[in-house]
Amino acid sequence: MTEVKPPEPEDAKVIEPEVAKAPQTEVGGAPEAEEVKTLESNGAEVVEAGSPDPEKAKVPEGQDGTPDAQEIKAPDADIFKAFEAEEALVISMASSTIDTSDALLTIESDESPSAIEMEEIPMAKGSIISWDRKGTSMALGGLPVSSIGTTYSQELLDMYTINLHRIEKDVQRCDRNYWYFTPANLEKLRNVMCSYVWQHLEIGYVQGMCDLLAPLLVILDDEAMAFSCFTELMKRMNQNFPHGGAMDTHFANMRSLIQILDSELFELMHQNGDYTHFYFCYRWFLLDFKRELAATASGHFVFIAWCGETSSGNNMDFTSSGHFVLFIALALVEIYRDIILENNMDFTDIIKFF
Amino acid sequence: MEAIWIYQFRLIVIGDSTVGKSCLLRRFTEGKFTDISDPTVGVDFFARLVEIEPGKRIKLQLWDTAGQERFRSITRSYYRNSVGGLLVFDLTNRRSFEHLKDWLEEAKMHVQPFQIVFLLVGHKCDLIQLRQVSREEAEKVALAFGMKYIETSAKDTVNVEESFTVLTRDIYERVKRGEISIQEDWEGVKSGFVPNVVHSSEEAVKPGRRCPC
Repeated sequence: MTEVKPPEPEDAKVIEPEVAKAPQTEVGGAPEAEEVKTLESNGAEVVEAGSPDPEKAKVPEGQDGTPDAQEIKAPDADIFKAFEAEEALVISMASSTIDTSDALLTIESDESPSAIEMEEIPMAKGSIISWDRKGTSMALGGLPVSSIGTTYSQELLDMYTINLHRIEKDVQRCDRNYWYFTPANLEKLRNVMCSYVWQHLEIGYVQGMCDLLAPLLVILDDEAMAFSCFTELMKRMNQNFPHGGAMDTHFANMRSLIQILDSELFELMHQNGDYTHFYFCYRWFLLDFKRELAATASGHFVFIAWCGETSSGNNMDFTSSGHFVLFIALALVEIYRDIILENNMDFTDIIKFF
Repeated sequence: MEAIWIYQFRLIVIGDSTVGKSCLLRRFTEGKFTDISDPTVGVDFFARLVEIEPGKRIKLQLWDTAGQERFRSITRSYYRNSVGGLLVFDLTNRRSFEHLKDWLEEAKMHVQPFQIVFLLVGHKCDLIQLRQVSREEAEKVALAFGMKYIETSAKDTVNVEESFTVLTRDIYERVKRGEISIQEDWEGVKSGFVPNVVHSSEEAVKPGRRCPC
């Protein structure tokens, strides 16, 4: 393992969740500009990411099947500092040769991810948490200590475990028909999402987040970059999720827009089993039209444009309105307005269009 | 589009995430099946006509919901305007079965003052080896809930058609018996598209107006 010992700092950053689980406690140097590199840029990393037996890769070295308090170091707010630590990578790399202990294997067989579907399900049992994501083992004995010596509460860790299950479920089925999402790249998606959710546990993982992250990862093909951009993007998108409450505003705006700009259509929508609730636009707004447009070149373009807007303010001419999404939505509705009107369509009839 | 239907029912499909709600709906409405499908966010819609008796068609407006509990606040508001529901669990996932009562409570709480006719659906019955819930057990639960039970597989097209028809017929019978009635500002049941209603009286008396096609 010594040949992988001198990892560059940039690599340390891209293995977020792995690092997070490694029992390292050091905090390394300051971030550097060249930290943004892809996983593939380093041969040693590829072994880690695409290893046929990721289970092995994730068992920390020093532990030899005896879980102790330090076995998990969940990522924390200082996650990025931790990533700089060379030790983190070294341990993570070195551990790929260690066999998974029996102890870990047994607790890995947790119930299915869906076990924690409903909120009222008891969080985690006892002091042992395991999260089986194709071999990533987490085991706790006592409370883990962070890189800066913070102790995490059991409650917090339970909450994170639940989120990990949720993420796992969705990562497994995110854009799988798209060529990019090979197992290795799904791993990146998972890494970024796990890191984001750790930093935003008060929000947690909500379905749809993977959809927003996926195009970023495809375009940037870099975990650290995707993480940064996604974090920025979510500052704007969070409001559309159920915890944000902006969706009703969008619907109300749509209602007003159509009423003003296409009163004929509005009348029909209103009469025919009233579908001015605009629920059919829900996904459009939640995912920035990702499922409707992302597969197309123009979709990518739109997405990039919006990301630009998010991170650098309204300095792009074509995204000069904060309500830009409304006009895209309006345009989508207007594509079919003649057909809808001619055929006097009700809500059930228009479903096939949207 | 001009197909004549006597009623329109709004049905809602609920259950834990990844039990196969969307796949069931896609199989029923489009005849397609994919092994992996995007998670439903918020709500999604499907529609289909069902012939329950010769010449009697019912238009189904199907609301597919997100299984993740984070969307519960959204899906909650959809119960009220639904006349029927498919309560789906995954036969290979015991937890999804155990959560049924939570779903039912949730639905009952938010459907007031109306009621929803439910059908219990054990999905993924093709995965015999992975089965975690027996038919007897599920039937017992269905009985306790006062609903019918059916086992389906969207993958192998087992009972998909039947599940929706059984529920539709069930609701139709109740509508006929007057247990469920059409109400203003309630979307659960809408009375259908009957051609002669839309014609004015003078048009209606015109002989030979009826088209044989």
